[in-house]
Amino acid sequence: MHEPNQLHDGLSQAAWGYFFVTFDFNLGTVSVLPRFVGFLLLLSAIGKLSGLRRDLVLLRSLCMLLACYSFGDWFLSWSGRDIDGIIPFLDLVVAVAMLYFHFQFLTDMAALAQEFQLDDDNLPARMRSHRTAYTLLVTCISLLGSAAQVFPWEWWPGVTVFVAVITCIVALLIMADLFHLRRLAPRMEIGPQ
Amino acid sequence: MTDIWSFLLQTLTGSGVAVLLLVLKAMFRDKLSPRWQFAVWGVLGMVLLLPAGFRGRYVLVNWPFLVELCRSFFTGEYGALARVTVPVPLPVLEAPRTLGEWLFAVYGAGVVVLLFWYVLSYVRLRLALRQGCPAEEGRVRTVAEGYRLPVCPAVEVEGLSSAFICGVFKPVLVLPAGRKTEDKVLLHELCHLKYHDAAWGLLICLLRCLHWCNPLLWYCADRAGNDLESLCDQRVLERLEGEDRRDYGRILLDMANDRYARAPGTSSMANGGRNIRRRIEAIARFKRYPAGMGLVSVCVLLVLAAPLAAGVKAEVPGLGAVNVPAQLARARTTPCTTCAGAFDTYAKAMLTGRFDYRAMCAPLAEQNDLAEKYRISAAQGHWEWLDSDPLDLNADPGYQIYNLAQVEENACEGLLAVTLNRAPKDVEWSGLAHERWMAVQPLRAEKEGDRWVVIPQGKLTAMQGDVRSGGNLGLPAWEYTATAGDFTLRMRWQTTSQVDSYGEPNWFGQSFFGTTPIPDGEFTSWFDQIILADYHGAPEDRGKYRSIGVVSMPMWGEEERPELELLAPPDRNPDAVNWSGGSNDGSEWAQRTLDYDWGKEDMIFLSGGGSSREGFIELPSAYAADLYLNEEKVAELTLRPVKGGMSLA
Repeated sequence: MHEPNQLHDGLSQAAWGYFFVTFDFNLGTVSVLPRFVGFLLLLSAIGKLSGLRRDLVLLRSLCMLLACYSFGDWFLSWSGRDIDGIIPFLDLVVAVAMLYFHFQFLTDMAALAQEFQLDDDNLPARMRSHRTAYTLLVTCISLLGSAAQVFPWEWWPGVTVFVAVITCIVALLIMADLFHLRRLAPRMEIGPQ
Repeated sequence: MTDIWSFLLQTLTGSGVAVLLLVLKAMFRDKLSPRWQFAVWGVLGMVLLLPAGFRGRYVLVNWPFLVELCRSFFTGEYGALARVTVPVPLPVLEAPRTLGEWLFAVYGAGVVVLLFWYVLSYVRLRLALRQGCPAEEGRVRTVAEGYRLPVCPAVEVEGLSSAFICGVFKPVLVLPAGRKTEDKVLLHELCHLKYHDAAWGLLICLLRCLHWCNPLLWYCADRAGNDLESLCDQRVLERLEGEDRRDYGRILLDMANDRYARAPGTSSMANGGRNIRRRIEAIARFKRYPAGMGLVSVCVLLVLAAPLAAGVKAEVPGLGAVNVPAQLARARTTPCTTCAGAFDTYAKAMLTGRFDYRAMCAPLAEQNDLAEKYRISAAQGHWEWLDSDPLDLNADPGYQIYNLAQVEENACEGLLAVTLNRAPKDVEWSGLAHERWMAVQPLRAEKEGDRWVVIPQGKLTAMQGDVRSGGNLGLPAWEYTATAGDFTLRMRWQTTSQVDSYGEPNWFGQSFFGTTPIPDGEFTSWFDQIILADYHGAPEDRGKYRSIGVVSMPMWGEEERPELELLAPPDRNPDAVNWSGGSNDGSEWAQRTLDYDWGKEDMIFLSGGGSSREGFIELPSAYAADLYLNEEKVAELTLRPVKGGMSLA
């Protein structure tokens, strides 16, 4: 039998995971909000919530891959280098894994909210909308990066920053959704299924 | 593709992507739908149909470099570059002589033979279908109407073990004669018909032909065919409920030992025991994917396809490699993709003396000579291009391209100038900074395939500079002139261009010139112009002229001469008798009194200025100028070019 507060802890970790994954604050070249910490928090959240949502187990390996890649990036940043571009093959695998991971994780969170039949009827639908927006924005940033490589245009950086700012806002909304879900969710013990 | 190296480049590029897709499919086997599992092969199809190495970009792995390295290693050839213009083999009219040419001939023959074999088997199949009897369409129509699917003519043929759809443009449903075909099999084939799966099968066959000697791509083609069947299974299962789904699995299981034909333009439910086993596993995982799964599938495909289509820009060779073939292969496969990039690379090759930088922008015809010189130099322990120093270049970091002009559609000319730190031997120098000597060389950049190359038009020449005003008076410029009475107006026009090579400023606000070439750089240009008046009247007539004024404007192309007006600047000092000004568009205006010093010189400086632009600055076709003497307009002139900007005489 798991501890009684695992659901609430799992949702908190998921919310803070999104904070670390999305926001970046650098001192010099080194991030003080390392992304790998976010993925470790999400990994821990998966462990805590998989008793309620078995599909989450499928995301564990992807989350570990993303955490390792992000740690490599953070480690290299101490020497002023960037992992992006060193192995294009790995970059693509990670980009695809990241996109799918966020989509499926947020889909599972919305499904969890649906199962609880909370007072706030709109929360699952809102979570799915934010998930869709987040997926589209992450895709958009990736496409902008490719387009900027082929078609030089002085406004690409500006457009990318604009999309990144919107992505941060959506990430904040996702965090708010997850905290809201934690507040409304019943305190329950999660047993192995 | 016209040689074995370009085929190698194309097929290796495809293989890299194939490995990536196989890894991703393994990762997402139980996560993404059969629709995605099949659609992702479209990314491989896209890469195989795009010319590899286009504009010096590679996909995932720097295959162009590896292919060129192999070529140099096996053939000792440096003066060639694997280039794919179209991703199919093009006929070579000459008889093969070298091993590489023979291999390409064998590859080309293989493509033709396999294509012929596919066409032949399709024609034979069509002829066999003519022997069949038209099938009773009632049941096919009932199934089609029941599931809202299209129908096509159906025939029954003896000796078949399972049904299939044949044809892309005029499809036929082929049924085995003498036994009843299950409704679910009909449903499967009608789903193939609805989604034009036979066309995908045809495309896969064509790609098999093009890459017949690549087993990895054949394996991917098999997997793609099987994924197409799995996708069709998914579509069938989405239309069935409960027990019918189990029945469908059972029918599929019964087909595991059936023989099957793999002809182009056909799609059959039975596709071999091993493949059927995989499909049954997929059926076991069957679920209706949640709303939004289509969205993420498309997003994943876009995130995957966009960088693969864009490719990765080849890095400028670093100093690490000290192997002549590797260094030159890397240089050759890092092409200059802009005219500015080619000039920049050449200038930096001169400044640093590096062979590999010169190889980046040298025509292919010169690469073998360059490799030989490099090899000799390397054998003596020198890794730099010592030949580049005929003037014993002791140059400042930095360069300028003077008087850059587009001379043909894909060719530009300009003068490379680097500032020297001392005068040439046996020449005196005053030591004044503005009179520093320069090494100047006329250059021509032109396009060779999809790379820009630089061809020197003369040797490096030492010239003394003069940068007091109006550009560099020591270096050539274009001149435009027109005469009216005792005066000739002369416009001196000079441009300087360079690719910005200064890095970000450091903590102290200093930025330094970087000597790494920027092969895709763009120019920032500056123009300087000076308008002068030469007096060639009689000395005793000088007293007639109290003042001279001019207003001028550049003209472009076939533009009509504009109307001009000389107006004193509104903000000038009312007591000032001399005034001048200019505008970013190249207009100049000025008025000078001729009261003092007028007897000493025949040349009168009127006005000058300049401005910067991104990219090239087009050369004006002429200048319109109005001449004023004693504050009266005396002539409306059009100044025509009389001297070019490349002349070092």
